[in-house]
Amino acid sequence: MNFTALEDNFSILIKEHSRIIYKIANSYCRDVDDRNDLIQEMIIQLWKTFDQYNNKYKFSTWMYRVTLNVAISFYRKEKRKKDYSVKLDDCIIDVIDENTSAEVEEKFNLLHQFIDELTEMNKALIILYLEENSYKEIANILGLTETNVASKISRIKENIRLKFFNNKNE
Amino acid sequence: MNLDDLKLMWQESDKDLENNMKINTMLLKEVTLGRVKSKLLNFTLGNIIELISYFIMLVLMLKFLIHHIDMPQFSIPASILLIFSLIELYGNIKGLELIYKMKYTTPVTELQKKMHEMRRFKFWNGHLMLIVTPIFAISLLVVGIKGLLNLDIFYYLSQNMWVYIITSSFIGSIIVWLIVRNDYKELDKLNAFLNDIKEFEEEK
Repeated sequence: MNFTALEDNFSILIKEHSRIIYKIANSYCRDVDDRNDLIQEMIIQLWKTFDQYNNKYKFSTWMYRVTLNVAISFYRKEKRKKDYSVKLDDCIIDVIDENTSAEVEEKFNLLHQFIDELTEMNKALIILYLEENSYKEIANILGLTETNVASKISRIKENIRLKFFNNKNE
Repeated sequence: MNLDDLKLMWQESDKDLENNMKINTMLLKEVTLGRVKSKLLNFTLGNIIELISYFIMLVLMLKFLIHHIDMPQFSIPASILLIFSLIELYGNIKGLELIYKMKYTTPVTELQKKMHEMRRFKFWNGHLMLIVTPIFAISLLVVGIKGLLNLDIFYYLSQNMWVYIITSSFIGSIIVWLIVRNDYKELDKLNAFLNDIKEFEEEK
């Protein structure tokens, strides 16, 4: 495949999956500037590894691995030192919030309140679950066994149930 | 509220994103043309310069040691420097090897474990240099002056050795205190994250 074809193919796939990239970035970085930097970093790494992508496998599996790995590394790097230097005037994937209703906003906040409380690894697990990946796919992306994925998800389910039950009773 | 309710909320956000999301194709093009540089772990010129420096130091020390093998006042400090250079060279090669092998397409737990083990390794490798600086400084002085100017300052140093031992211990204590005070938290976080990954991998 020549460079232009590779580039076109990449652009199409990024456009198709931009929603997932944005949601992963938003789950790890709530700060707008950091999130834009993270999206930029994810796309750089996706492009750098794009020639290694084997189309025999699902594009989403490959993309989840790269974006989650970048998100965790970036998140931990950002927590260590806030010196991320390359600031672009604009961002690759942007969301205009004008049409978001108060009800939707409230739901998002509740959802992210829950996600923010998770550890980096559990966050990755739950994002993959919310994205409706099978246990087999989640296991493959994270490098765990299916049994382990199933038991972790059931534990998180139980924690949520207890958390909301306790909140209700307070 | 349960996990399925959260899943529903997550999916609802998709519709919202579809309506409000825009892609900056110009910037996307900049990335594919390599005009936007990554800030994550990369093979850098600094790593290579460091590696070459330690290699040159190792060769010089070895050469010096062979020529002064029968003179303990030079062969002992040269051996200290040689061991130190070997450790640092090994650390640099290992670090570069890990950076080179690291692929973001690797399963998440595997890559994060490798990446953070490497950071811990780099932490110790970098701090080892600071901790041994006082010993290193005296050895470097003795060997350097003999090697460059062919002067034996060991005799002078041995007359005033206690001054150097006290100064070195004092500098060493300050360095260790600074490391514990400022950098230990970083090491603690690295260890905590590696434990998180270990626990995450365990089937319970």
